[in-house]
Amino acid sequence: MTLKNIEQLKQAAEIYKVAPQNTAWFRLESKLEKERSKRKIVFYKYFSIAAISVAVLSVISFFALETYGLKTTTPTTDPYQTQITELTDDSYSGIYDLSKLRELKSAYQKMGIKNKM
Amino acid sequence: MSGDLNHIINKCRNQEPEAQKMLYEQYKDQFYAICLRYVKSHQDAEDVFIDGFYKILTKVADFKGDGSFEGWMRKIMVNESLMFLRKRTNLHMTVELPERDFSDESEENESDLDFEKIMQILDELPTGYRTIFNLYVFEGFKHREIADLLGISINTSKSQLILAKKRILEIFKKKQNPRINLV
Repeated sequence: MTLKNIEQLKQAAEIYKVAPQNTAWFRLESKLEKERSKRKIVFYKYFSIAAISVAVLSVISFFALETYGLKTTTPTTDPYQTQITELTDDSYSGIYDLSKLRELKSAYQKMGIKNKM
Repeated sequence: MSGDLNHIINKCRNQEPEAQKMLYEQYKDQFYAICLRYVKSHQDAEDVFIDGFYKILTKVADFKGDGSFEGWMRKIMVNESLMFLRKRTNLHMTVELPERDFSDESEENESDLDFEKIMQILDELPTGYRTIFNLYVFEGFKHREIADLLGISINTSKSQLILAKKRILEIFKKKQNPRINLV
């Protein structure tokens, strides 16, 4: 069988046709119909999941608002609002611990070192 | 690709039943013939054909337009046939000829072989021979590609093809001269 033969066979195969039974289309159609209904089910599944999620979030938001109330701010023309919190606690010593500084000063004084602290 | 076919493909992408039927009608005879070349029995070939066409119609959206649509569909049909053969039958592809035997000696009677006879003879070949012959001669695969596709060595593919050709000529000679059977 030469290359020429193979080429002839290939060409003959291109035009060689055999008709399948008529029932083949009905079998294929029923498979496709199943696929379509499966797709519909998947769509409705995702749709129902989305709907349930929205409903759950709505219920949670509703009860959260009922419980904590809605905090509204008074409208203002100022672009920024500044809030200053004053510390009323005396125990707060700031960044320097003054009592320790005093102890240190007195220690230096005892040692006879004079400095301008 | 013709405009009509493009139109049908686009409709098939949207899973429109009418377009699916039109595509089926256009290619059913050609693709069923391909399945019959690989799978001997009509019943099995029809199963393969339906599964293959189902894949075509459900995966048509995956066709990006590179190359011909017919070639894409044909590839699906061939793959479906090979999958069936792998599942159901033993391909019997363990025979390897020594390297020196790869010369093709089956050139006699070449002019007498016509396609109808070849198709009848193909039915009588073992599955392994028929598969390699189909892939090499009709699909135009190279031995390297066949080896990759079937998970065999290149030498096995070559030897199977030569043995297939020899067997075809033997069967053909027997059919031409039935007396040979009695000797």
